[in-house]
Amino acid sequence: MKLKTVLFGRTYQFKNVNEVQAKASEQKSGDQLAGLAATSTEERAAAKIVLADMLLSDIRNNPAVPYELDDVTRVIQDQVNEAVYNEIKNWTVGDLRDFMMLYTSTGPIIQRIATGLTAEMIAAVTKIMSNMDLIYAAKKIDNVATCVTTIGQRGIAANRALPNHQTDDIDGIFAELYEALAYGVGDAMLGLNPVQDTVESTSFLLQKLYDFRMKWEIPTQSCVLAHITTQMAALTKGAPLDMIFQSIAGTQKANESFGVTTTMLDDAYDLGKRECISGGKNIMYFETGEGSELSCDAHMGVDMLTLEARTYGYAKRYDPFYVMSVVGFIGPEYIYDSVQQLRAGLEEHFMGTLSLFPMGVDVCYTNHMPASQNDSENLALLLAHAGMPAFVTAPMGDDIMLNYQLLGNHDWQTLLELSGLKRVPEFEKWLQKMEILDEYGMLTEKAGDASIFLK
Amino acid sequence: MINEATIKDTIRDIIKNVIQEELAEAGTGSVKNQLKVSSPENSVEYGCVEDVTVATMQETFYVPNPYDRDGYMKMKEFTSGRLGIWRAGPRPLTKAYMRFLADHSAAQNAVWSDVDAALVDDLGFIKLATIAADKAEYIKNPNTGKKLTDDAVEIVKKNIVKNLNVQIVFVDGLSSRAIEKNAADFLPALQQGLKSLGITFSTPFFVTNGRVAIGDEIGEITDADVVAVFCGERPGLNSTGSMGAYITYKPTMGMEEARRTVISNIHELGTAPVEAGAQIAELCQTMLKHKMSGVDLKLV
Repeated sequence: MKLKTVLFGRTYQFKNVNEVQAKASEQKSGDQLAGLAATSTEERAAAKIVLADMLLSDIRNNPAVPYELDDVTRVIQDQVNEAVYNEIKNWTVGDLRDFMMLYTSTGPIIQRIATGLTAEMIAAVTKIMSNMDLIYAAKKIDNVATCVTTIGQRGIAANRALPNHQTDDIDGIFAELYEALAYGVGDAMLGLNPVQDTVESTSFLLQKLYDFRMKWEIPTQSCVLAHITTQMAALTKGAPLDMIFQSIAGTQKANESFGVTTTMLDDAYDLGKRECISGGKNIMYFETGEGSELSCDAHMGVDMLTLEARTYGYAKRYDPFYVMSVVGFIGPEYIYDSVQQLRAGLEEHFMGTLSLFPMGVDVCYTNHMPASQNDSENLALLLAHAGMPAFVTAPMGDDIMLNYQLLGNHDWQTLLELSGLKRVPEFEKWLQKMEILDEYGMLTEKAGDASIFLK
Repeated sequence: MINEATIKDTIRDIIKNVIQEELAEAGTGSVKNQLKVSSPENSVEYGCVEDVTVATMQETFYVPNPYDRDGYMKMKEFTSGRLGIWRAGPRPLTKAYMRFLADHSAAQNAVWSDVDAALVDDLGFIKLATIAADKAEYIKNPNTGKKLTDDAVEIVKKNIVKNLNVQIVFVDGLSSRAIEKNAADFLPALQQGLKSLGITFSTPFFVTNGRVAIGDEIGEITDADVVAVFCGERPGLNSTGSMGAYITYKPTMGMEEARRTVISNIHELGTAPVEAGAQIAELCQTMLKHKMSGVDLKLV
């Protein structure tokens, strides 16, 4: 394995694969905070050059965290399709990038090769791709999944309504929900982040969301994002769950700090397959974010992008309905500004796509980050162009409970029009029945009036 | 044949002429503008664009022909979200967008500005700095906000009061605005409350570019029984000046977060500063009695 190169007469020697991976990463404040980032642009370029020339087998044989120490590594390594891997193990990372760009490498061809990849290989190739490379490759691939409805098909983009409220006030939650639906938002899911993490409250909220959907015959799915153990208890007691949510990360230690183990996720998946009421085969939903491992001191000396890829590799075990990264939510000490936010969003969408499930990015920032709504709008347009299947929006982009800014409900219709995308077909038909959309999918005069749900 | 010097001279002349012509035009233009400004209907003194930040989100409503106006307004009372703001085509109306810009600018400014120096002096705070060189470093590396400079350590040492009950510490945190808006009302209420309960307290410290955990280092140096840190919280669009109280019995550096008792949302629309002052004085009394704080205290 070659861990050294010379640029303009100067030698760059790296200690191991992890150091090459970290230093080949695009600049991010979190890697700098962890002391892992390249210290100069030349060193970063040198690391990318070494990484591009590295064999996939070298990466397979040197997982970011040792197999014996970490069950995220074990999950990722054990699910590799060995026959496919054997076809490509002598490719370099650069060969993998070139392969994905070829006209002959269509979506299904790339999806097949992806079954032979580990998360670390996906992270590696991401680091030697430009933004347009990431968009070009991701756009070829359609990962389709079904909960109540189906997302991920070509030309379809779905969006989550986010009716969060500071005190879980049911009237406040429904006001936000009516507003979202009045703007044609909610086909990815009606997904609430609760303040209270109790079985009683979670069951109550799930029942309210379910009753509302039944009353108005809304073809979508709902989720209350309590801790996985809370949801499992609610499900066991008969609460109407379409899917089971959990935040996950890229190391065993980080997952443990979230109160999550692989056994627990396996149990939840089994329980969900038996008892979730959605009818679809994809009943898990995960959220992730670069920096979460570092924030709980569980990054094990690994860069954020590699950890994020490992998180997706871990998620893949459960055939999720989709996975969503909250790109600018964790804070500027991890993703500093709009430049880093934009790059991270494109990287995450590509890596999730290569992990073979529908991938979403919550395009967002906090107020202590040097970023604005303009930056989010830019990234949203690029992600729509890249074929991202799942978005999330809130009224005028303001989450009043979590105190951060994401895309606004208004941005959704705008984004679909600009990108030539359609909503999930059943949901679009429902909006037409409600006279929120016209036959061409444009907003009617009723759209934006949430009081139509007060009937 | 024309030589180089001749060409340069010619070009120089052309440029000079162009500049003179432009200056002359600009001159007439500015005369015109002056005339315009002095006419009464265009006077800068007459109008003021409405302050878009006055109305609450609950009052703000732009839907022209709602199905149920009363129901909508009632619904809006339950949330501070931006509901009923209508649209132009698919986009937000200009007035809703301007309001967002104003609120976002305030939220960002709350983070990136410093607390007014005059206020810090007026309240008699003793000023301390962390090792963060500036806001950007402090934002990028939160750990720099948890460590005092050597000079600051000396200042704390000089101000040690023996057998002190409560060490008061204000920290800018993620919102300087929170300190500016709340400290002047909050501090006298707290001091009055402590005094009436017979609890001793010190002159407050004020830490620039600090995080909550800076109180732990101060506590270790002063050995006060209780350290009460009042810190600017991460601003949201609807609450840029919210202050959090983090109160700990005998804090130590690197201790578990669970040892802090937290009262968040201290601002005029949350827990009012005056009310919070009295409430926290009583909390300090309870901590002094049981010699504990945080989760442990909840279990008492």
